[in-house]
Amino acid sequence: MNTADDIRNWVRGHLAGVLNVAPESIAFDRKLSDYGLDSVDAILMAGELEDHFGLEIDPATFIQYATFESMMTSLAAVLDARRQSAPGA
Amino acid sequence: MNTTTSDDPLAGIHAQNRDVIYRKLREEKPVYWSTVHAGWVLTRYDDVQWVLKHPDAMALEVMPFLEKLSRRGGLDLPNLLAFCAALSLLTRPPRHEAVRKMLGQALGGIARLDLPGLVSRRAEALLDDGQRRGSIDLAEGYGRALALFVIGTFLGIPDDDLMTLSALAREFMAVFERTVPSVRTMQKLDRCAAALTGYFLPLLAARRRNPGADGLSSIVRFADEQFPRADAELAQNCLFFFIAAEETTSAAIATGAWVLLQRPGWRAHLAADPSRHKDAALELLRLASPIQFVARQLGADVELAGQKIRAGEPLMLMLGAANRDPEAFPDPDEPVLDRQGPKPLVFAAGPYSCVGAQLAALEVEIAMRALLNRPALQLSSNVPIWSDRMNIAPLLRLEAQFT
Repeated sequence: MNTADDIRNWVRGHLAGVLNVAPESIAFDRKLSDYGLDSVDAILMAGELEDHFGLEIDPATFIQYATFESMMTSLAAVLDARRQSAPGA
Repeated sequence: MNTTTSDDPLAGIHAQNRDVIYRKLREEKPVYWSTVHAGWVLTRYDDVQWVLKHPDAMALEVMPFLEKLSRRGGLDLPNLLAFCAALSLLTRPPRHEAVRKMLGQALGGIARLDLPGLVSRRAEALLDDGQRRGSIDLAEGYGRALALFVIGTFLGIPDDDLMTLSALAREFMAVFERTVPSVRTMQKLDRCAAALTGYFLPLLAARRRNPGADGLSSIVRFADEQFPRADAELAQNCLFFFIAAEETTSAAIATGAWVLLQRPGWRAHLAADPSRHKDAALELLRLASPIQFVARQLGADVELAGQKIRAGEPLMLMLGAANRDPEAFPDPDEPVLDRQGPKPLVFAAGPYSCVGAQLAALEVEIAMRALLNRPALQLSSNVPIWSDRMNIAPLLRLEAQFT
């Protein structure tokens, strides 16, 4: 499975859990606030993404993504770059 | 991760780009909502001062946010929450008045110590050491060393503990940055708060058993007699005094030195005229603005520069921007001795202004005078290193040589 799919699945699962809705109902062309999520949710989500993918994420930047799509694209790019540069990857 | 660019002017602001950003904001958006910092940003002198002196202005309440974060995320941040709760009590009446009185009395005790003499001798000793080596780092080896010496002497902290405390305090300063914190930052701050309050607790108990002439003893005595508090809360107050005094004063001294040593003409003029030293130190403080902003909230809705600000919304009052507003300070980026205009907002103003303002101004003046006695001291060609923080962002390295 590639990086972009990893992230999509994680984000879908996370949001479904937080919002208590079915995973397939999550629309990636929306942003956090469209789902009524605030900066506290963003900070917590960024923290869990950090732990899960071993990334460092600045929540202030995180809050400002226009959509989940752009956020995931950006995260995937960072992860891909790191996987390619890691020895033995 | 910096893969998005933000159009918020305050995203990525730091000591080296802030004056350009402030100028643009003062001219174009003197009151605007920052998405990055989730608050209104005020940059003009008149607006900043108006809020500071507004009868309904209060220190910004951060507890609801922290409690929500801790609860919703299941995060365990007891020490950080306790510190912020103590700070919050400390900034509200009636506790506010009592804590100010307590600290004022402790600071008053400094008079017995001949602090000016002590600071002056320490400054000369630090410069003597530098002269023997041929160079000195005016950030760590002068500004920070002097600030630590003063707060250490005031509270009566053993010399051996100062460096450890200082390192923890520096990390803990992130608590005053109004950026959206990451979970990791909060967890780190919680550990820092635990270590720092844990340091002061046994010290307070020791002073109660065996009081001395130092500020810590005075705080314990005042609290026990007039203002009974749990030692945990007193320890959190002491922690606040320590970080408030150390980081800001060290930033003011080092940045002041940076301003002074870049202006040979002004330096020579001051060296020849000690009667102007007090005014000069105030100008150095204005230019350094060691605290770049303070956060407030208002009790009622207001309209300011065409913006509707609702009660309770966070206001970031950019003291650093106000202090370089050309409307209040013509030729704002230069130190000028005979300014006729309003007072710089270095220590904020109104009911929450800095209680240690006089002491800090005195330290800066003494540190400056000692530098003026060393005409051979010149900035090295190495580029100074600044902290990348936004609010309290001291120089981390400022090398100078004895030529």
